[in-house]
Amino acid sequence: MVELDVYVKAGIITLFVFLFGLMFVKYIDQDRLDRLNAELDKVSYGSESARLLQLYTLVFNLSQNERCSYFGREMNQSMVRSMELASLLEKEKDNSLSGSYLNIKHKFLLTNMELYLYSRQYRASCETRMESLLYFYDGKAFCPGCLVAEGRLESLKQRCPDVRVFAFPYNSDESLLSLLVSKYGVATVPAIIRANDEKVGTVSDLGAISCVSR
Amino acid sequence: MLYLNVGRRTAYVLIVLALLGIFLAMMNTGTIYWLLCILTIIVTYSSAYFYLLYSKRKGSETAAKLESYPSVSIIIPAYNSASTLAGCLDSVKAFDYPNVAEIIVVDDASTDNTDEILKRYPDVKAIRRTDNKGKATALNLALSQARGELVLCVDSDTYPEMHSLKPLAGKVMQPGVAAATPRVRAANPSNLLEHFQDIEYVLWFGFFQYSLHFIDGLMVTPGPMSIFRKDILAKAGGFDGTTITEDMEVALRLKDLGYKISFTADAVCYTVVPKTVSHWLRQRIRWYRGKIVNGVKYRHLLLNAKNEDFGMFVFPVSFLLEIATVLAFIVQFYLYAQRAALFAIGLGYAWLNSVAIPLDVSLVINAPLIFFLMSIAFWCFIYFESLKIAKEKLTPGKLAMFGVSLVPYAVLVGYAYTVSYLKEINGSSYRW
Repeated sequence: MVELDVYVKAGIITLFVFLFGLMFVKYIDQDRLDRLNAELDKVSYGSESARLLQLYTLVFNLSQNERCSYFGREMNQSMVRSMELASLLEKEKDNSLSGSYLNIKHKFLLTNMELYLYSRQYRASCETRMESLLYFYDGKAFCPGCLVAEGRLESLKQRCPDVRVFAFPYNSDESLLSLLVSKYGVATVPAIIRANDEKVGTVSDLGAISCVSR
Repeated sequence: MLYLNVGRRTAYVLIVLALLGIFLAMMNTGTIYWLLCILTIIVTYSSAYFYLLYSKRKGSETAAKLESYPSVSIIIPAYNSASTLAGCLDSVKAFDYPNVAEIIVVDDASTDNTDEILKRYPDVKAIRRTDNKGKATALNLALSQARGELVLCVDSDTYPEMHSLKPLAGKVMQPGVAAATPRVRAANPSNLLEHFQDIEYVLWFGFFQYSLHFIDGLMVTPGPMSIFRKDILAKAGGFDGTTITEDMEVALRLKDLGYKISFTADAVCYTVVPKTVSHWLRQRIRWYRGKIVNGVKYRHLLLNAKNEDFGMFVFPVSFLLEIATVLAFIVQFYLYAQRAALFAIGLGYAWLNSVAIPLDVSLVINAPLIFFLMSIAFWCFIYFESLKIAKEKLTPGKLAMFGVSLVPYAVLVGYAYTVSYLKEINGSSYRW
């Protein structure tokens, strides 16, 4: 070889450039995961508050009105945040290389389920205009119907500020979620369940949902 | 047992389709990321290599001074060249070279008024053929009648600069050298595509040819203009009329025989370049397919230590970079086709959602982003250096045009490489 040193130096430069690139990507990835974690923490406050409120009610016999007003205020904020975090997590599904994303997603699904259950309890015991929808999508394979449903749900949320959507993959490995899936007999997706346990027939039927419901 | 009676070509196509299918099926975030990393390593290493080679050898070339001027026969193959031939002949007649033995033009059965133009130059030896047999055989015919010690082959749509012949003759007369090549530029670029090609020529015939000639790494004697030692070229068998890129074939054959191909930045010629994308694509697909054909023909030069840097690095890496270009193009095409398909089937929301991902949340975009920015910096540097080699200044206008050319031209080149490889595998017929 005429220029052996050139080959060696080129190798060293390549190594540096490559390592620098990897570190850069790692930094961005970590930064994104940190932001997701911070968002998840904020969502978790809602479910923690709800839990504490239950305990407080048991200990100090809180009045129904006080309970509902506190519940509504705290839960609403968390549910809105939860919906935002759900779409953010979906967006980032294809952009994550590390396993940390899966941990965040797992924690989020549990928190979201907890919020859903509290929302059911809130609806049952308090006067509210809130409509909570359960939305099941495919968490493993590409589902064009789910993309359409998400578009329609997004417009519904814009049209009706009191609608809360709780999105869950119907084929998740999380055993608690499978309870919900089997309760509503979800076999195909997209599937949308209203708070009164009524199944929304087709995605187009979402347009017929009234903003004020009981 | 089921036997499928398929031809070799069909079998190749099926294998390629199967591999492509597996490749696309594996295309998740992780695969794309690591694939991009591998491509990046190849590109970064070769960029670093060229940069170091250039920095180390810059300015060390020896001036090719001649004590006496060997006789030169200028040969010009012409086919339907009425619009450019006069300009070409005027340019070669203006050479400040004291020993031009003759100018031979082979009219390869033109159907326009090329012959009328030729009649205006009585001092030019015109050979008229009744059948169109192609450039290589026209060159061979002229070569068989050439009297000069050197032969300068010039395309009929090329205009050499008057001071170019002396440095070329000086280079080709150096020991062990069989051919020498000049810088090639686009003649009077007017539209965007012509300007892009001119930039490409500035880069290729500036930085790259200049760097490569130090390690005897040149693998083409450019069709627009190249000079050869006639005795060596004749002994090597002249130009190959069966190949689609005779300029590369002859260069590789000469290298195979142990000769060097040299380069001088002091010689320059201006050649007419395609004005439309379809014409450009036709030309590029012919060039790139020619490269594959010649690569197969001269595969014994690949990874052959006898050929030093050329055999061990330049030649194999040139193919590796082409394959990397094809893979990068397929990945990009796949990603954008997926989004376009979503849009086409009416999922406008999903599509907007997927393209509106900010840069900082898309790892697939982020991963190559840093390398993309670095390669832009590298290309800016080599453009600047190439202009220095061409003794030109970097003006804001040139820099703006260079910036504009980077992405669209890279996409076009990626497409041309992909089509060329697919056509070559498919065994499609060649088009000029």
